[in-house]
Amino acid sequence: MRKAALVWFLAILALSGCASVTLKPVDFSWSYESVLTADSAGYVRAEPKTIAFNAGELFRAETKDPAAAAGTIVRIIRDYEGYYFITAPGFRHVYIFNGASGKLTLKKKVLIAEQGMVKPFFNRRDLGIELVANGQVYLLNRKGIVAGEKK
Amino acid sequence: MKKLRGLLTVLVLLLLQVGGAFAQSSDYEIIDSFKKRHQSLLESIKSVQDLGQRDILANEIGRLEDEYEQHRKLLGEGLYPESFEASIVRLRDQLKNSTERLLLAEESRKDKVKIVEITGKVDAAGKKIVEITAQNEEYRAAIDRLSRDVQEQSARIQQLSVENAALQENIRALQLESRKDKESIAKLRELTDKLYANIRDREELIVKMMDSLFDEYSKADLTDAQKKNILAIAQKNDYVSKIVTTIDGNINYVGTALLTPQDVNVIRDQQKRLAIKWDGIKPFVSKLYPDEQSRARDISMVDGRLSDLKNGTGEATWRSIQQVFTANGVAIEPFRNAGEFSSRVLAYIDEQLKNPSREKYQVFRHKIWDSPIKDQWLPVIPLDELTEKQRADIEERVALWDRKISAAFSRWVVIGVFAAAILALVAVMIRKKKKPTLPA
Repeated sequence: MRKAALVWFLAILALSGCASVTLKPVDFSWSYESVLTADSAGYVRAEPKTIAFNAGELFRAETKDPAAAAGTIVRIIRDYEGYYFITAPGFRHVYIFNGASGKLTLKKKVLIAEQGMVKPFFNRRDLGIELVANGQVYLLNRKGIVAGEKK
Repeated sequence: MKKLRGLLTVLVLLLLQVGGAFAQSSDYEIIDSFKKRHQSLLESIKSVQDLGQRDILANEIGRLEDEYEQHRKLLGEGLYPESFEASIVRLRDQLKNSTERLLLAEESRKDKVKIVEITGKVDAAGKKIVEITAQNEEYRAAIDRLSRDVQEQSARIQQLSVENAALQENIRALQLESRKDKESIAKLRELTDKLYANIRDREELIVKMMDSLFDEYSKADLTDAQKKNILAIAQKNDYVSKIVTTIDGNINYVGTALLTPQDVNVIRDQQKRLAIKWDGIKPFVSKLYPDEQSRARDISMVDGRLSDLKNGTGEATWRSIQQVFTANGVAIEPFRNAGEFSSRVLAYIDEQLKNPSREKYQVFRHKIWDSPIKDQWLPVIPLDELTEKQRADIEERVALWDRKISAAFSRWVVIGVFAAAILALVAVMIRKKKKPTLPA
């Protein structure tokens, strides 16, 4: 009985150790955005340590033409929490994705400019992700625009 | 808490709005432009060509550092694992390396220039050596030729001197015989002409020798050694002695010869030429003497000989003029200069005026005075020697003699006519007396 009790005690200790290991806090943010050029199939890939994915769906959503992705620059940045912020010149929106299990899942689609953005870019800031587009500065987080106004 | 976050957000946005040139720049582009400028600078630094460019690039590095200083942290992340500072240091290190390379290249270039310069100098020196060698060869050949010429001239001068001595001996012997036959006079004249020709030849040779040595010596590019060689040749050939001998020959000649007016002109020209030549070569001749005493002695000797020659030529001229009187049997007191000539001629005419002789007048007037004295000799006598007044005095006296002779002649003509008339009258009377009377 005492022996069995010891075994159970050790098993409980071992199981509880495995399940509760959490590393935090984690800063997933990128210091600065990645500027990637989509290939003819809509794939964007570049330097190591930068994600690669097919941006065709985004172009389809923005322009109704996934082929429009070819040769277009796509700007990506990751915030502190690990969300991906993606946009491109001519887009009306910034797309906020959660990345996990080999896929990007749209978390938020933020309308920035109905007429589309000219030369948009991201910067990482302490309070979130800064977007500059059409001469306007916005501060974004996973929920959308925190500061600045859409046009 | 939310208010605070909002306030901070506004502040951040305000800062972003007024943040200067980079305020609305993409961090990515800041990093990218920095990388590009950094890379461009790095390449420029590697290929920098001179120190001027180096200075410009050093300024560019400073400017890059100043401009991007505010993004040090961002660039630290963007340039990871290199930092902003390290990237600037890398530029400066590279610039330092390039500067060293430039300095080395500059040094090398200077060395090359120096090598080219030295090579050029060596080439020039080589050419100069070849040139000098050729000049030396030429000079040696010229010296040999000069030496040979001078020796030949010297030998010929010697030969002429011997011939002249023999000729002078013969002339003296003939003069002592005092023979007045045409053959003896012709022989004397022949010997004198030959002697004179020899003297002139010898003089020509001496002048040629003077010219050869002096011209060679006067060349500007001669070295001291080469000049010494020429002096040695002159010394070896007894240069000064030959000049003295030649002048002595002339002095002896004019001391014994009877000259024509043409001879006087030629001798005077030669004498002047010799004097000018001598003045020209005196500096050269001075160098032939190791000591001042013998130099002064010999130079004053030649000066004295030239002066003697001038005086001798004058005396020979007057002696030759006197010979004109002697040859025509006119007994006139000897004269050796213009003053004596004038007074002796006037004395002679005055003596003749006391007892004028038509025959003596005719000889004096036509064979002596009118020609050759007046028309040949007087033109070669300078006016400062025999003045216009002296000439006019003689002319006046000759004219007086002429008038006296003419008057005497007229008197004799009248007497003759008178005598002839008387004789004719006597003859007529005698014929009348002897005429027979016819019977009535």
